[in-house]
Amino acid sequence: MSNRDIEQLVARQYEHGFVTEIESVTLPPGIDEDVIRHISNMKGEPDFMLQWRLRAYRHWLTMTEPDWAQLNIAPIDYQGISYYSAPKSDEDRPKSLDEVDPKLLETYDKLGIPLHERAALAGVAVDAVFDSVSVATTFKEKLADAGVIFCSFSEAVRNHPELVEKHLGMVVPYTDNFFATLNSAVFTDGSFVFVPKGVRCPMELSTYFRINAANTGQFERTLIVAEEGSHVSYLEGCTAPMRDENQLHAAVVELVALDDAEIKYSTVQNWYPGDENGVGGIYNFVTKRGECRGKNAKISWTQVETGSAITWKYPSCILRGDNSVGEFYSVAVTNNLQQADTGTKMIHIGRNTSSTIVSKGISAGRAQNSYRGLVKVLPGAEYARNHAQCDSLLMGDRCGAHTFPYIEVANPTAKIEHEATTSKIGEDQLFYCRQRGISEEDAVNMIVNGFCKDVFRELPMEFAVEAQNLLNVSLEGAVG
Amino acid sequence: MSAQPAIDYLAERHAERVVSEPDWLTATRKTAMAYVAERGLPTTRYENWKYTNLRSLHRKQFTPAAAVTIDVNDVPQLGANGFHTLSFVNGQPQEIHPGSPAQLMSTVFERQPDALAGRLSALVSYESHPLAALNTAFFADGVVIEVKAGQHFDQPLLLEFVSAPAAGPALICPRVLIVLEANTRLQVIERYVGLPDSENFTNAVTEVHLASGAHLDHYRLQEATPTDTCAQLLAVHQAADSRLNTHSVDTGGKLVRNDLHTWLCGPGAEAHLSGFYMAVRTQHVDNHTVINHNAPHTTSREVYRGVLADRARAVFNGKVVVAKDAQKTDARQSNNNLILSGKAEIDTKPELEIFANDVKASHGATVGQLDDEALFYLRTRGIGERTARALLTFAFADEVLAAIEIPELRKYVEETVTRRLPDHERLAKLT
Amino acid sequence: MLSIRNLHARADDMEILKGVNLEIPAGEVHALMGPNGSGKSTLAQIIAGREDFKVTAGEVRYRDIDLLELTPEQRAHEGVFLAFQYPVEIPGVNNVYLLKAALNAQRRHRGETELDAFEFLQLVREKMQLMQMDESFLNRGVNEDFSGGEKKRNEVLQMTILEPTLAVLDETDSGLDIDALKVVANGVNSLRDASRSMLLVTHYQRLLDYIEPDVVHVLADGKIVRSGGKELALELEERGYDWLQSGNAA
Repeated sequence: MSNRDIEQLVARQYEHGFVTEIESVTLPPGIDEDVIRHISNMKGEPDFMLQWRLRAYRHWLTMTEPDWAQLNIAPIDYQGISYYSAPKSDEDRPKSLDEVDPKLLETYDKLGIPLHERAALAGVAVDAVFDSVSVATTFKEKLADAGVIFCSFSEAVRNHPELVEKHLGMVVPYTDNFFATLNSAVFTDGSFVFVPKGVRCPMELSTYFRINAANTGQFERTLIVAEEGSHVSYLEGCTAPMRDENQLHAAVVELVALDDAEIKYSTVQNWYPGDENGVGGIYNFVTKRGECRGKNAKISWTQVETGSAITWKYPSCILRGDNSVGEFYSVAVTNNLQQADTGTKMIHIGRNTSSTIVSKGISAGRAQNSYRGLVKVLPGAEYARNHAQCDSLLMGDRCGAHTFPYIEVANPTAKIEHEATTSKIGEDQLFYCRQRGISEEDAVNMIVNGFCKDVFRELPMEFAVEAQNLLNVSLEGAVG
Repeated sequence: MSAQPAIDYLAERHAERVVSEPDWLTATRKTAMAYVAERGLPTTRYENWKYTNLRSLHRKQFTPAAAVTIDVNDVPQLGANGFHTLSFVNGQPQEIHPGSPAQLMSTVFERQPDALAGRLSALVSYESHPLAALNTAFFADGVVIEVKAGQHFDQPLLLEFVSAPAAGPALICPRVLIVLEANTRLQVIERYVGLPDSENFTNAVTEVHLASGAHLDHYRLQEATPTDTCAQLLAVHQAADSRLNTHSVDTGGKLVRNDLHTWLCGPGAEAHLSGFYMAVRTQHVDNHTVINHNAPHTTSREVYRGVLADRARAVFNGKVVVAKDAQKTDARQSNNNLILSGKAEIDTKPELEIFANDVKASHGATVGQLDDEALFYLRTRGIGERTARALLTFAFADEVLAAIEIPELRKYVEETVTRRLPDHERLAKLT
Repeated sequence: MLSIRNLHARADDMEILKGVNLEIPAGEVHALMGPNGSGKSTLAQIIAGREDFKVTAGEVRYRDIDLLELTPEQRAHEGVFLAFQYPVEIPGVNNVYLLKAALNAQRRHRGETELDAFEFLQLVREKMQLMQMDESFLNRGVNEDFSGGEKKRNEVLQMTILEPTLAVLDETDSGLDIDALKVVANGVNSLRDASRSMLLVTHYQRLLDYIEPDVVHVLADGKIVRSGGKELALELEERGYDWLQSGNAA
């Protein structure tokens, strides 16, 4: 397979790059305490929320941007970003899907997320976050019957302030890191999930995020609390229109799992990656962390990352409860000038905790793909177990794949294994498939999907198909 | 030690002793001194020094090593007559035997002042190895080993660097330059050994140039006293079809830091790195290796293993970098650690940085304990548990030590390692 | 069926084939024997379309098509099958998935309807029985962690399903014990008919005990140096290749 073929292979078009023309209310660019008060005021938040935001903002002013390790990044002008943008119809927010602006629904159709039908067929409850506010949440009644709270973060602040106050910032404190702190100050919306004791959430929960307005940042915040013995599976999908300038997405996700609870969190991220010359695209700087607070708790992260100009995220598990389990399954695809620096942190604190890491990186074009992970075993974490497998697949001769696994072990009963490989799609493999009559393009798709299989099978069924299609789309037009 | 007065002090003491040096070297030293004065010693804020803290050195007032007299019988003998031997005590060269491929740098400077210009320090980057600046600024005398095309040395060359107690803590800066011309071969052993009660800081730099087809077996045997601090940079440039085999064994020292950096710059070049570290009590051993595949069809293999007991701590950072045009690179690396105590700690980070697409690269790291199955098997064969543990621990180490090709050295190293194993006396009874 | 004339080919700087002439009429099975490095595998791979070799002269015609003009997958669609000497592992890609994709690609090419999952599985099960393969094979990755013998069986299984017009078997017998050899031979023989030709590349005459060839060729130093009936294979078994190469052939 020649380099030219590979170039064609990866020269794909971004399918979700359209702009929705909807009137929106957007704050002028810039950040100061007034902007934060304004956001809080517009959302009708209780005082504790405003005070928390202000503490975060004041702390943020003392912080400096992180050192960019393996990433090339243009400086971000934080005063050039608008921190709030909402569709104008915010005054009388839709009570049901019928009231949602048809243009918005059309947008979701283009994204392949028909709120009405496919969600219903798939039995998925969808919360859609458009720019900064949550526009519609489906299946609210059915979930309410089961005792599950699934709503936008704003609603949660208004309707369940005691739950928000109790859990907000307990896993990712507002002092955590530059972007998490910024998020804490200015976050506008996101999803909130509360699964009470013993409840198995009757359906998959899902949120779609979309950045639409120009020059806006999206700072959403997600909090999922699973009480004792409960179970929930949550999926987020992300897209953004094509714009020349970079847009910032700095989200925070906090998960709390109590005794015997299980949270499965899946992400299919397809933010606009920029064009083939690296112009535009989303900066995706996300802090995701889950705490297995109770014994036998389990948190599982699955991510398929194909979009964004720069991705910087490390979904992590704090394994505090005895026998708790953390999992991280990741597929990260980068091409053209995309950069991804992603991985996980597994912090073993309780006894008999175990973690699994499976990371598959695919680089094409001139893209750089890094796995950066930490497995830390604290002195009291007797019999901790970790297995990490990080594989990279290279397509084209100008891309890079990097692996930085940090392993810190302070307990002699730990058993930690890390394995990594880097390879390209073998000439032999392609020839074998072609000899059997399979076209080069199909063969590449087949091999890539085979490479990612260990991760795809962790996704809920409907989304596994979607993820697979997303990969195939990204590899379309391979062979001329 | 980062403070300017300390540097000035060291520089003055140093200037008193350096009689005559070529101008190019004086210039090189000035640059190095300026670097040290400005940057001081690396701190844990450097990513490469994240896990190793040199704070303990800051508090000490080191003086450049001065001549001390020792009884050679105090130094445990290695290898006896089979080797060409050159010894340094606190940086001062002892007599050199004829027929050896080694020469003192001072002798070379006298005869041909510019012979080493452009060679010495060519492989050293202060940014990536700040301690190399300290060495370059203050090394007293060094060793030049040159094997010309067609020359042949059967016997291994043993360089012994002895650290002996001095008036106060001494800064010892061994410096070695090895140049192997095309298709030559040499075995070099660098041995760092200490006498009881010394509190010195040995900060060594060895640079190696391997021309095409040259083959170097480099052994580094560090058995300093538990109060000494040891650092070494081994920097190697490899031309086409050259081969580097390194064996690094650390059993001594209080705070030990080794940097091994090789550049595979011609097709067919190969690097085989093996290392073993055994740390007990509060010893801290840090190995940082970087293998740069800069040319196509280059191969590297790396295996480092460590055994940690008591409150010891070890760090392993193995980096493999495959440059853009280094297609058909084949790189494999592994790091395995055995932790024997609840207070010991290991921080390991095998890194791959790959910029070419047609490569085979893999790495692995494990931290664990002795295999329960194997332990059980031995016990069913009538071997007591503690003996079985000692036996399996030794076997774990020996998988690396077995790569030592010089029989008397291998025997010596195996014995040295065995003596440090818990319950080693039970092993003796088995044979 | 297959007509090779004056074929010259090289890999890198080495000339491997130095003027090969070979005719295989429809319905015949030919064996290609010869010492190591004589160019047998190269010839097999060139027929299948491997791009690592450069054809410098000569032609390969197959059913009046200029085979050298076609991509590997086009050749496959036209009914050319190569059983690989070293079948490739493709981790994560299911055996059945590969087979189904391959068969349906061919059927599309021939304008036939594609088989659905049920029909396909029925076909595979039937052929697996013939090849005495275990059910668990269905769920494994292509050749992933297969033993040498399993890989070879898998090659022949694929052949029985794809039903090629021209099959080239590259040392399919090597590494097989006698029971496995019988199974493989049985699979191959089940495909023998008047419309199908085969080329068996092999070192050993024992395969020819089970798959009886119509013609045996000897390739040495890039040329066919001798052709004969199946008794030639026995003679080679007894006398080796030297007597042919030294030029004093009887």
